[in-house]
This record gives sequence, structure tokens and C-alpha cells, in this order.
Amino acid sequence: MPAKPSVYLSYAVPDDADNSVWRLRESLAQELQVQMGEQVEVNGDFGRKFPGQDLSAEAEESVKEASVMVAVVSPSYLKSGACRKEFEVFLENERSTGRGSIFPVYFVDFEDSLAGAGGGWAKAIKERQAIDLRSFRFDLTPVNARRAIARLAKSISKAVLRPPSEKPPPASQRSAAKADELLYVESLHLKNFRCFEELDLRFDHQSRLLGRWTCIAGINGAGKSSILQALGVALLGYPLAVELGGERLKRMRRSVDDVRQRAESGVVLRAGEAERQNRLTLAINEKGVVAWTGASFEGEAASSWDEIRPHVIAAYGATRNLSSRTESREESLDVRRMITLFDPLSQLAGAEVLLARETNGGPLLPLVQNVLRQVFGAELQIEFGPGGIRFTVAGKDVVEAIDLPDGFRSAAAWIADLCAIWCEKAPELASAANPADIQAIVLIDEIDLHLHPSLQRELVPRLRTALPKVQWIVTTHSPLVLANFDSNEIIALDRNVPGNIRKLDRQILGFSSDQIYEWLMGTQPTGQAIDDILEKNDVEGKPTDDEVAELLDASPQVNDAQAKVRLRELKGVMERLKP
Amino acid sequence: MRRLQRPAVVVPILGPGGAAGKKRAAHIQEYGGTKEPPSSFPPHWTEPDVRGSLISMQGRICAYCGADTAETGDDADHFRPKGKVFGDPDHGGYWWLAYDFDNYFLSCTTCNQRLKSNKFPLQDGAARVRFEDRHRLSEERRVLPDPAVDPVEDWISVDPRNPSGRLAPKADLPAESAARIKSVLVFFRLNRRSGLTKRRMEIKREVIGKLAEGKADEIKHLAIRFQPHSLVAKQILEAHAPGALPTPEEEIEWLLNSLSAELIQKLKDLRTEWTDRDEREANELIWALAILWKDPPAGTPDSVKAYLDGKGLTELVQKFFALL
Repeated sequence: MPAKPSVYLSYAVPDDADNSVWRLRESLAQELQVQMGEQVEVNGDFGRKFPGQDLSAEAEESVKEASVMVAVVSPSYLKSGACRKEFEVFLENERSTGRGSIFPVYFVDFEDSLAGAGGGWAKAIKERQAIDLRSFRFDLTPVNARRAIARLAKSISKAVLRPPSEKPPPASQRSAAKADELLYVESLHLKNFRCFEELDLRFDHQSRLLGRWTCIAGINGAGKSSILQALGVALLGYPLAVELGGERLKRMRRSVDDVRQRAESGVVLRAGEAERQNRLTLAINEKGVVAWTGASFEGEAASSWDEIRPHVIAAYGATRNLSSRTESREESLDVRRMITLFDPLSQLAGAEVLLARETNGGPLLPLVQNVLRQVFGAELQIEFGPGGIRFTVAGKDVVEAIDLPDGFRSAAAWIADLCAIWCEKAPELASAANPADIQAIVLIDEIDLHLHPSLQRELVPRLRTALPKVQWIVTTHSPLVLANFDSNEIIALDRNVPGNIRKLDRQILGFSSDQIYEWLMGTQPTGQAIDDILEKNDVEGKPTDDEVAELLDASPQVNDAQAKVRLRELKGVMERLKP
Repeated sequence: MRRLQRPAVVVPILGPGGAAGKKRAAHIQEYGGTKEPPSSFPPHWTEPDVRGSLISMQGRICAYCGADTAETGDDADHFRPKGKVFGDPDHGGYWWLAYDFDNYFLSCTTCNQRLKSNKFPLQDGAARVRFEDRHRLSEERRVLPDPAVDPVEDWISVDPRNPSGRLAPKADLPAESAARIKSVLVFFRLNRRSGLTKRRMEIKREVIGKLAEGKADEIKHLAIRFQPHSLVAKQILEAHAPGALPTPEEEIEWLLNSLSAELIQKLKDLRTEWTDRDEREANELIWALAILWKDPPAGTPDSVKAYLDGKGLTELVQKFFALL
């Protein structure tokens, strides 16, 4: 660390024609002095007067001395040879000394299409976390402007104070090593999120069964999907969650007397062999934007989510389906991957589209094949032939994705998508095409969606074995799915009990579906139609008591004809018994 | 719906020195002179001694629909809602009865949570009793019969001539009572829940079948008040084989048998795996037995003690018995 930290302000001459960059320099220098308690030089080539003029030797020296560079990115900047030189000198210096940080600042408002200018070096600079000061170019006095400068100054002082060895490697180097590192959600804390005023959930249960599973059960409207959304939004984090859009974010805020509250969703994660703890909390406030509650500086908040970005985190809403094309969207990939959780009208990219990218010997197709084989056995197979992707159902019908039975299409959609993310985030490990390698957090709304009951009862046990390293957080309405969970893995939502969660005091692995409906879901295992018939009998006397008796007597042991005979016999006995 | 008899014993928690009793006194002191109801009620009614009292009175049977609450899940129901009353926003609820045992019944979750909830209908034009005129509670013209006050068994008929499991007001009831019973049958949907109707029909079939074979003794147990839907067997036996009706002593013996068997099993379980829930449930059973010993609805305390001696439970039950 140099005796006197200094900052180099890199800018294009035309942008300072109105002295606005100079004013930015003044404000920043002042704020740095306040925050660091000593004078910090903010240099720049302010002697340069004409566009195209070369970098002065003096300025070059300042660049080399500077530990931080602030780059005022604009169309002129991206075209300027001097600015390019400043950048390259700084970068060279950064490489040789192992320290230095570049903060791009957007100060000039410009048309995005112009941002493509400048070639590779400009691209490199734009990849850095940028600070947006565009609203304040003409006036740096408003309190918001001063706050923004203060935030910039804080990250600069942080960078200046950080010893070179602690500088994290670039995100691209980290990701390859991290996708297979352990990561799981330990707990979730909600405040004013959708229907929940406050809710605490844990996901690190003792279970007698394999894998890390949580199944959220509850009657309709108990808030199952809200919990998945809360997890999704907290895991997307800042700034990605912003891309969900104001309308979707607004709906996450609980309404009290028609006033939307400030919503909060926070997760506690465990990561790595040492299972170190990481807390990430998002707040959604009255402007519908997302902020971090842990500290005031957004840039810092963004970096706290950086750590989980290399991991596979996938979420599938109840409307997931295969669409025949990839939708062109403006959202980031990570956001697009979760969108079915938040948007009932969106779809997942088609299995064909996903697979077609990699049919020439890539690991995706064999990986999907392996998962499908382990989960559905001979019931569903996938092949790539001359005609493209084909599915074989029950060993006979060969169909395209669009003609798959709904249950298979829905399951194939998320399985293919999950495998695709794994191949992308952990390409080296994925080359083994082994489902058991997949390390991920997967949220699935209604995991049983459209599946035939016989497949519902097998799905979860098969997934436990096939993908043992995945943390699954799923919801379901199906008693056949619920019967596959240890009671500790089940979160039984019940808005009638304090804390919104009913404590299960017994295992339900041996329960029949009837018993699960009645005991866990508070639902009669018989249809409403028979109750309606009883009501008509009660009110109008039609159908008659005899007809009702026959209906109620029918069972797997008693057919309609036998019920008639039994009724006749019963009435005969009753006749004889008359007192 | 069977007629219930509340034990004359007050469990410690509801007494003046108990947590619930104190809460009640504090509520009355703080809110008695105001129009405001208390805002929170610690759920003392879920404590083992309160639940034990209810079990000693009802066994495991829902006071309203007659179903076995071991199958459906149970609640300690407030007969008169402790918080706000449905359809009467100004009333604020019968908050002073929140910790009054006379206001508790054991009920299945469907009857309590889905159907009754915070409803407590009154007859047309009747005034709802408030704290100020609480001594007039017995005059309140409520719709729902109180199984511990009203002779419900004389009001409801299972109609032995009917092949289905339908319930109806008894034929000779005065018009007003008949109308009231009709609305209760609708309120708890007693003829409209297929699970209940079907079960009553099955019992009726079994009872009638055995009667026809002249084996009335084999169905006696179905008429025991602590059995699900026992009104069916009771009314049919009354009509056709009154001699086979269980005596009150037989009923209590049946309850003692069933509770002590449950307790002995629970104690065995507790030896291998100890959970708070099991312990609480064991305590409920011990309280129930202690109350039956202190104030047996039939027989004498000595006969109950002799029974407990026979099961080797006296020492255990004695601990709670001493607190009554």
C-alpha cells in the first residue's frame, strides 16, 4: 500500500466541457477525506484540453501511483485513445502489483447502442460493477447525489485499505471451482412477504431418509408458493431480483388495510466443507425496488450474492412447461431460470432447444438420459436421432416433446433445464454425465404436477437416489408424494396455528392417502358430490333415504347389485323387528 | 350428540391459584369495567389437566358430531367464542369464559375449526349476553344445545326405521325445539358429512343384524357413550332390547379400561423414546383417571381405586389425585 493513497479519475475531455467532471472530482475528494480521515488525492489529466490529445507523462505517472481508478464511461470515453491508454497503464500496474480496483461510473446519459463502441478494452471496463450517477451530472448537491458519492467513496476506501493478498480472484476463475461446492439453505426468515406477517422456516432437518429434502404441505391459500417465491427472490438477490420488475416485486409486499408493507426475505446459507454461514437478506420497499438491509451500500450487497452465483440454483413454478423455443427476454439468465416461479404465464425453454445445443457429443443429453432412466425407468426415455429429440413413452410410443403426456412433459422440462444449468456451471464435472454429481438447490412448486398416481408415489424416492447432492424444497397437494417424507422434512402450513406451522408428532410414511387427506390436509377423502347428495336428501327428501343408503353401502367389497340386495335384506329385518 | 356430565372437580390450573384462573381474574380486573375485550389469551385450555378433565367427561368423542377424535384430530373447543363473535362485531366475545371449564368441550377439528369457528348463533331477536350481565348467561336464547346442560339425547332421533344414517328431531318435540335441532343438524352438517352418515349407517346395520340374530349382548359395547356415534346403538337397543343397554357402571368401566390401556402403552413407549408430546399425552390420561377416581359419574371412588390397584396404576394416578 502506498504511503498516500490516490485515486485516478479517467475521463474524456468533451465530457468535462461544462466542468461537470471537475465538480465530481471535488465532491469525491471531499467525501474521501471525510471518510478516510486524511486527504486523498484525486488526480486526473485535467491539463488535457483537446480531444485526441495524448496522455501527458505527468498523468501517466499519476495513473501508475493510483490504487484506484474511477472511469467516467461515455461514448467519448470509449472512443478516446488517451482514456484507453490510461486504462491499459492502470491494468498493467494492477497486474504487476497485485492491487488496484477500477470503478466505472456512468455520469453521462447516453443511448445504449453507442455503448458498443470501443472494442475489447471497453468491454473489459464495462464488466466491472458500475456506479450510476447519471441523474446527478448537472447538479451534485441533492442529498441523493451526495449519498451516491458517499457510497462510491466507501467502496474506494475499502479497495484502498484492502491488502493486495485479499483481493478476490475474478468471478470467472471462482465459478469453475465452486459449482460443486456444498451450498444449502439452512433457514428462511420472512417479514410482510405476501400473506405472511412473519415466518421462520428451517431446512436442515434430521431425517431417516436419504438427501436434503423439504416438502411444504398445506391447504390452498396457506402460502406454499409464496414460500418458494421468497426463497427464489432471496437467492436471486441484489441486483438480479430487480429484473423481476416492479409489478411482480410489488405483489410480494403484504397488504395491510390496502397499504403495501416493506417486505423482507432473508436466507441463511451454509457453504463449503466448513459449512460457513452466509446471511443474505433482501428488502422490497415502497418504490418496488430491492435493497439490502445488511448495509447501506448496494455495491457491497451485490458482491455478497457473488459468492452464490456460480452455484446451480433452480426454481420451477407450477406452470412450467416445455415451450418449443427459447423466449427472447431481457432478463439475466439466472432470472430467466426462475421466472416460472414468479410468472404463471412463462415457460421453460424447450428440451429440444436445450438439447440441440449439445447433441454433438456434449454431456447434456447423456446426463438427461441418465436422470430420466433413474427416475422413470422404462416409462420415459429420451433419444437424439436424425429427426431430432424423441421421447419413448412406456417403451412403445415415440413422440416429440409436444406430444408427451402432460406429467412427463412437465417433469422432463425441469429435469432437462436443471441438467443444462449444471453442464453450463460445472462443465468439467458434467462431462461425466453422472446425475449423482449434481450439486444444486432446486425449488419445485407442485412436484407431482400432472403425474399419474403410480409415478407420484415413486418420484421422490427415485430422485433421492438419483440426485443425492441436491437440496430440494418442493410443494405438493398429493398424499402419495407426502407419504415419501420423514415427518421432520414436512413443513405443514396452517394459518390457524401460532407461527403458521403445525408440528407433526408422528411419521406418516405408513399412512394411506385417505389418512393423509384427513389428518394432514384437513380434507375429507370422499368427494363433495356425495355430501351434496346427502344435503339434497336432508332438505328435499330426494334422493330417498333408500337410495342414499345404497350409495353409502357401495365399496370395493360391495357392488351396486349387492348393495340393493343388502338394503332389501336390512329393511326386511327392520320390518320384523318392529316393536 | 350425547348428554354429558361435567365432573364436579376443578383441576388446579383452572382454580384460583392456577395460571388460567389467575389469567381469568386479571382479565376481569383489567377489562371488566371497560368495553374493550382482552387482546390475547394464553392457550391454557391445551394443558394436560384441562384436556384430562374433558377426556374424563367425553372419552375421545367429539361433543357435537360423535366421531372418534383419535381419527380426526381434536381441539378443546370454547362453546361460547372467547374472541369476537361471528356476525356481531360490537360484542367482542365471551372473553370472561375463556378459562371457564363449563365453556369447554372436546371436539373434532372439523366441527370446531371449519364449522363452528367463532360462530355462536342466537335465536331470532335474542340479546347476546355481555360481561355486565354475565349472571344471566343461562337465560341466553342460544341455538346450539349445550350437551352438558340440555337433554340432547331426548331431542335427537336416529330413526331406526330409516336405512340410512340420518338424524332427525324426535317426533314428539315441541315445534320450537324441533326447529332448533334442525338448525343444529345443519350447523354441524351432521346429515351432510358422508363420513359421519356412512359410519352411523354401518353401526345401524351391525346393530340391527345382531338384534335379528338375537345377539343383543354382542352390540352392547356400541351403545357405550364413550364409543363413536353411540346414540345409534343406544336408541335402537332402547326400542328393541332395553335389557341389553349398558349400565352407567359398565360405561365407566369401559372408559377406565380404554384409558388405562392407552396409558400403559404410552408408558411403555416413553421408556424407549421420550418426546414432550408423549409425556403430555400420558399426563392427560393420568389426569383423566385421577378425576374419574375423585368424582366417578357412576360407582364410588373406592371402586375406581380398586380398578386402578388392579392395573398397578394407583401410585402414578395418586400424584395428580392428591392435587384435586
